[in-house]
Amino acid sequence: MRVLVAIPAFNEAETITSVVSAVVGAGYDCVVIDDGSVDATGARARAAGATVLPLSVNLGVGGGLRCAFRYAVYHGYSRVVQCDADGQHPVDQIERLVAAAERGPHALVIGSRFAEGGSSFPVRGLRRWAMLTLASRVTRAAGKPFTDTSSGFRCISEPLLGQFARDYPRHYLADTFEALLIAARAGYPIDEVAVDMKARQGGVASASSLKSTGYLARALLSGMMGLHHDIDSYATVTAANAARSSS
Amino acid sequence: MSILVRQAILVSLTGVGLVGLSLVLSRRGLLSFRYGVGWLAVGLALIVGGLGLGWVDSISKSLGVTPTTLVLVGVAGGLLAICVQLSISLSGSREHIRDLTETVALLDARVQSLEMHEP
Repeated sequence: MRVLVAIPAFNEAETITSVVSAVVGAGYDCVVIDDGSVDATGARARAAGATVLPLSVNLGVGGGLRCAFRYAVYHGYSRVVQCDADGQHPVDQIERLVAAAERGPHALVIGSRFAEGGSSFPVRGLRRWAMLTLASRVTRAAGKPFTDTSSGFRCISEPLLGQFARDYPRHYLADTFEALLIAARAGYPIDEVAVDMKARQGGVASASSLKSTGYLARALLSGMMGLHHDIDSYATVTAANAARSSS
Repeated sequence: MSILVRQAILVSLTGVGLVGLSLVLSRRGLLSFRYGVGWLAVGLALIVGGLGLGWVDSISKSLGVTPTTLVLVGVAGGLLAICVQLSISLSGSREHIRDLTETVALLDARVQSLEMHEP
């Protein structure tokens, strides 16, 4: 299965060269979604060997990722690994995600900071409570335990990839918890594996503490309101694929 | 001049002002035809409502509220409906912009790829 590494980037000129070079050096095809950056992110990513999708308007991570999914489907990739542009996600961990996706097979695999064997990230107070609540919602929807629903290090495979290329939660920071919940509720096989993550290697985080708290509140609310997304269920997609292959 | 008449004049003049503003904005191209028609309709409704305030009076008495309250509730309801419609329209426009932005980015990547392989 062809793997594409997708890196959404917004003003990440400081780190993008090293991140793309590591991904390309490891033998992966790499696409950088330049999300309306005003610095040299796009030029540096291209020079380092990535294909660049330059968004003229800042769409946020979700919008950028759907663009990458559309690119992947058009070019025949069957797996996309989503990585951060700030160097937090080590390239050597990509193989763990891909291996877990193949083992299942799982349509969505999360790289968890909190699962046993992963990095140790101290989280306290309201943030910890909110993260546990989000994790419990996904655990309930998926019928198996999840510890890190807000990780942006994940592997999305067909047939979910094609569905996400059509419709993906694109509002602010919805690409993490909501995408996971949508996939779980639609019956797609999902899993998480422990990964080691590094501290941010440079640049400025796009989500401040205040924004992160707002995101957690909004995520909980949207989970309660029900998520309307135009994706087919896993059962529908697999039945359609089976019918196509038998005819 | 009774309070009812003064209210009728005030409401009607507000309607005339809104109709005038809608026409000016539409003629200058600042307001699309669709929204221009919407605001014209609101302005005309205010004019008709103002002129028919005596008729409103009889309804308000049967409901047990003042005519002014009834007119204000009607106007607030109309404005709320317009706000909801505009929110829906704006959400749709945002989706269109997102789709277009993604499509332009994908086409840009294809052009770059073709240029790289150009002899």
